[in-house]
Amino acid sequence: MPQTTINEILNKFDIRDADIKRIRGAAPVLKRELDAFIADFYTWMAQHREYQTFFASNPSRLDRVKQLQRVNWNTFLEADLNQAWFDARKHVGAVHAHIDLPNDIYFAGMAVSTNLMADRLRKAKGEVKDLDDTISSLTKLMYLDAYVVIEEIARINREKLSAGAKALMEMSTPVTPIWEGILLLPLLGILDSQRTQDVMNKTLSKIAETRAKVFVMDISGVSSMDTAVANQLLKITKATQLMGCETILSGLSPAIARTLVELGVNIGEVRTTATLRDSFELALRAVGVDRKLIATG
Amino acid sequence: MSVPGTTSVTGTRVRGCLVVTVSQDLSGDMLDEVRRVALEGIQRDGAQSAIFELSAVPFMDSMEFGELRKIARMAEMLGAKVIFVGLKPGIIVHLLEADADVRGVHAFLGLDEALHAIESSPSPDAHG
Repeated sequence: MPQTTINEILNKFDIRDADIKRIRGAAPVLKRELDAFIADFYTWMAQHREYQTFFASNPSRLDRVKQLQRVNWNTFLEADLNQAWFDARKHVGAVHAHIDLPNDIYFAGMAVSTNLMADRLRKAKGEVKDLDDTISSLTKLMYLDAYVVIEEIARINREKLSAGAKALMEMSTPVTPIWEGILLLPLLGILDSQRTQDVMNKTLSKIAETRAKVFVMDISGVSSMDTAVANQLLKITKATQLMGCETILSGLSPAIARTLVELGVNIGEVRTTATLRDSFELALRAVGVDRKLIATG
Repeated sequence: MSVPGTTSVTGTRVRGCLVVTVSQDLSGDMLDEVRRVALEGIQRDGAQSAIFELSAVPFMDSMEFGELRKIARMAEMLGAKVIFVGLKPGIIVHLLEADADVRGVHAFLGLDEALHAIESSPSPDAHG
């Protein structure tokens, strides 16, 4: 994180040199009482179910976390707001994301920590100059600390979502051989340019692998039809055509047929049917299967 | 019987059809060579079909594809139907993403399929 970015964030949170000076001024008092502060924090947390979830069955974990907290609050009170400070908070966020710590207990914990520290400063007021301003500076830094942690959690969750979406896309394009020379794809959901490229790649690979002559693409599960979607479908039909494989579109509803005509979409010579059964029959004829072999009723 | 060309473009008569095999990408003078081998071969042998065998072409942009299509149209003016064979999936995806005009392009996966299609379709009269 470049210094300019750090400065920008500090500016946004209105953390100035005076705030840092006040926090460092209060640090000796708070550091002296750090163990008591941490004990008070976990006394509070023990009232909530998350304590049972994370610590009740594993007391050594609680000791480890208390030790990490000691390190964390020491660096917090040193208020040396450099790359290492931000990285340490991001690491806390990564850990919280990993254990799936709920946001409510996290934010409540930060609020409780702020109040516990403020109480200790009030009780030691003789030792702390500008008490109200010091508490205000401490609160600002708590907000910044919480932001860095939560932003890291959000970033990790965004990455997980994106990976999940990608995996879903992989599973949602099952191009399957259903007869010698015939491939089937029931297309579900949205069809944007990214999905179209995915469909094209998978379909063309399967055509090369199976030497398919016909590709039946059922579009009854496509969520909406407009010019953009129609063009993506046509792109797929052109792609298979360039490998000598005809695409038949099945699953056209009256609504889709009407939309395509009214939009003036030219589907050219692409064969379309209302039902998968009809498309399959066309496909069987195209690969030379005797019609008498096709069961009826 | 074959049409002399560079080692990268060869023309070979297979079952009455001229097979123009391209064994590298279409940059430089390659397209000129494809045009020469295809058109000379069609004229000399009276071939009614020509297959552009492209399975060894590693990449192709939309301009090169457009030039190939022009050569196909020239061949059609000499009376030969042109079929593209062996376009790689990656090339196909690229061409379509680049909105290349693929209307009227006849294509097959491999030489066997293309020859079978040619032999199965009715032709006005036989040559060679």
